[in-house]
Amino acid sequence: MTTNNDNIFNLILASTVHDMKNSLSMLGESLNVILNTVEQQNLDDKTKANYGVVQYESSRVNNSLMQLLALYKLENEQLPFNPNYINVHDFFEEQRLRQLHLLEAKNISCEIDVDESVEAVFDECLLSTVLENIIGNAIRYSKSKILLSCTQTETTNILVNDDGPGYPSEMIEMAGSYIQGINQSTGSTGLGLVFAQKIADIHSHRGKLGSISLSNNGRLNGGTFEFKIP
Amino acid sequence: MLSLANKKILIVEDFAEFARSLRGMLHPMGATESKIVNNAQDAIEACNTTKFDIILSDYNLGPKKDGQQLLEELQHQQLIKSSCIFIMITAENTTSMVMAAVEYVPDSYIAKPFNGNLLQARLQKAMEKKQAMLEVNRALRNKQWVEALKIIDTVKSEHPKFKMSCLRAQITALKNLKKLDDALKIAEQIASVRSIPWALESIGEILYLKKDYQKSIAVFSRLVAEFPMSVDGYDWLAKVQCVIGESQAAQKTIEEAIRRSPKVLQRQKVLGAIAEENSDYQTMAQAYRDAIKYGQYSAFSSTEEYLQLTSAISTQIKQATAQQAIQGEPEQPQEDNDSSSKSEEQPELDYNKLKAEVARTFENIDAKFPKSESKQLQTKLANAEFLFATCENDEADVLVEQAKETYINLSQQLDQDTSISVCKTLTQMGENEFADMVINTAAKQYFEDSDFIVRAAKSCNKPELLKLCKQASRLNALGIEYFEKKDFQNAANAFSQVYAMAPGNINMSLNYIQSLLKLSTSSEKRVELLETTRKVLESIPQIVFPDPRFERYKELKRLTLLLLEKSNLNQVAREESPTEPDV
Repeated sequence: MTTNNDNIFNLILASTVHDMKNSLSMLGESLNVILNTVEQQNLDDKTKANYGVVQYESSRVNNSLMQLLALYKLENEQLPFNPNYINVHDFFEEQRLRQLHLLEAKNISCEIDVDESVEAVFDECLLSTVLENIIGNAIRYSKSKILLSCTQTETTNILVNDDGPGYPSEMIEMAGSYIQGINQSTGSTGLGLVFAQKIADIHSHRGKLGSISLSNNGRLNGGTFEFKIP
Repeated sequence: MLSLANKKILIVEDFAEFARSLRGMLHPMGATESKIVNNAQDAIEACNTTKFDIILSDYNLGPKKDGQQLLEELQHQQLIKSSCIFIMITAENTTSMVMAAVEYVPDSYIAKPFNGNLLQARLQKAMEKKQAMLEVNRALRNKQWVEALKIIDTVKSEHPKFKMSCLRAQITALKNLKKLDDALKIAEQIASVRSIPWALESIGEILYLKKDYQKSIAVFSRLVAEFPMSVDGYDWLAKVQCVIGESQAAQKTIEEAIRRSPKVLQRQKVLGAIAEENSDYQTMAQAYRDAIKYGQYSAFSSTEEYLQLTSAISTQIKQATAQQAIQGEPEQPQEDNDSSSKSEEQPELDYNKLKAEVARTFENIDAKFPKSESKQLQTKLANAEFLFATCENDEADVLVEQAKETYINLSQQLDQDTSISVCKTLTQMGENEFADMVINTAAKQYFEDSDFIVRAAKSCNKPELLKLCKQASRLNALGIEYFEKKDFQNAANAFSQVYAMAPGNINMSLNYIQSLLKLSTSSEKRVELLETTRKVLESIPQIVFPDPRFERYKELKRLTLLLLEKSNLNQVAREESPTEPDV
């Protein structure tokens, strides 16, 4: 039997990610247990804020792990891609609920603007991982409001708008090559956008690839992330 | 607003902390009755005593059954009601499709970590869909295809949101009604708008059913090219390749599927069967080893993979022995340095290890599966086959004789696959005459099933079976034609001829009975006809649930007895009232 280095990495990565994810859930659960021993009203603002930080950071680590694993699988043709008709309003609602704790902690409202009958064809799991990261970032930078919207022309466009300061112009200009955005010094890992780009790529239809783009001065006068499905 | 008050909820989770946290999430939704268990076995026991409304189960449940196997077991044993919502909690976001390669799919997947709000939304969505589709799914499960189509039309107009699920159900119903062109039209319509994996799969399957194998292969090839993780696509592709005789290509295809998703019992069994056809006994043995391993906690594990493993090992040993006989003593150094002839051979066999493995396999069959005549018969034969391979001919002969005796004294008919496998094993051991008898008997018992006859003719190398069954099939088709035209006299005549040709064939006997019953309601010779019916009924060998013919047998038996009783009463009444005209 020959032992393949690649196989070792494959095995270790998958099992380690699961293990780390389990650890994260356990951390979160333990924190909940500790907090439950204290009456909610007795929590001071500082403790509440710290609690929010732990939750936010652990969900960020979790999301990064998911993206890492998915990228690895994508390179090895092991990433399941299962597009189906999805109700966009329901999908947005789930994204909002996923982040509800953080939205409430930071006192940010999240609105949804899409007709309840609108459907689009995409892989729900994959796009959900993309948006979890993007919305998480939007919450970090927005002042008071986030808007999830969708327009349908010849493409379906999924938009995350915030009322923050907008994306830096270097990032916007990097369209199509977010891998260059990986920059240790600015602290941007680039993972979120690289992942989004890859997931857009596999959402192809009749020879056309999906795409992502960033812009400013969107509907809330802040940054806008757009995921285009052909 | 979702209320879980009075809903019976089961939480299956091996992490106690997480289970408690789940319960905590359910509490604000009004849940009062939630039970926590930490493994699949306990979940099955809980479902034995309580009919739950909602089951939340982790996919990873420790070393034994996983969440998917739990769901399969619950469905298989019918331990959950059709309205029960089953939500699978996964560690990853992307497992759904790999797992969709199985027969039973949960109502929803939810990836860890999640909060109560998300869980609530998922539950609400799942319940809404379950409610809307309840009647459709019930009709499909009861195989009431025409009824299902009617309900689907209503649901489609009332719930446009579930249009895709409705279309999918519609394709299933049409397929089962053999309205293949209608089913194909819907699937092609969906796939022409967008490439949806399940729609492509439906197209490929319908083309296969239409015996348009080349087109079917093209569709499945497209499916796996566009969606490399669509393991169903590979399974199907391999199946069609097998049918058109491309078993080498089929083996490569199924190996691709296994590379992507190895832990599926059924898939390993398919590889084993294809490898056997390709005389690749090493791969065959390994596939059945894996089938046993991954099927250890599955509701679908059977003696088949165990017996096939011993058979593969027996053949491996037999071949190696034959090879040695040609090449001389294996210990002798090779005279020439040509190593290429060596590399073509199977790797060196470790006899002691294989012997121990076979012994262990037989022990496991005994321990794991309930005693049955058919199991006994097959185990004896497999054991004999192995003893022949290891040159212990006397012991083998004894077992063969015992097996024959078991066969002759069977109280129930063998099923199709067992008949083929018994015939094959007997042939391999040179028992051609007895093997012929076994397969000829089975051919009569199941001749109306052309798939089986084709399979049997091929596996047992007996092309004459096809001809033998044609006449009976033609008569049966004629009988059905008369029956559908309500010409019960001619139908009964045709079926009585088939019955005479193949008295042990249960479906034919039931056809005959059904036509006799119909005839008796309008015929003057009612009493006579019902007596014949009774005789045919009594000639049917024992069948029990879950034999697919059992339900029909039960119903026809009930009708026959009812009509017999009624006719006896009438006769008595007639005898008592002389004013009635004589019949």
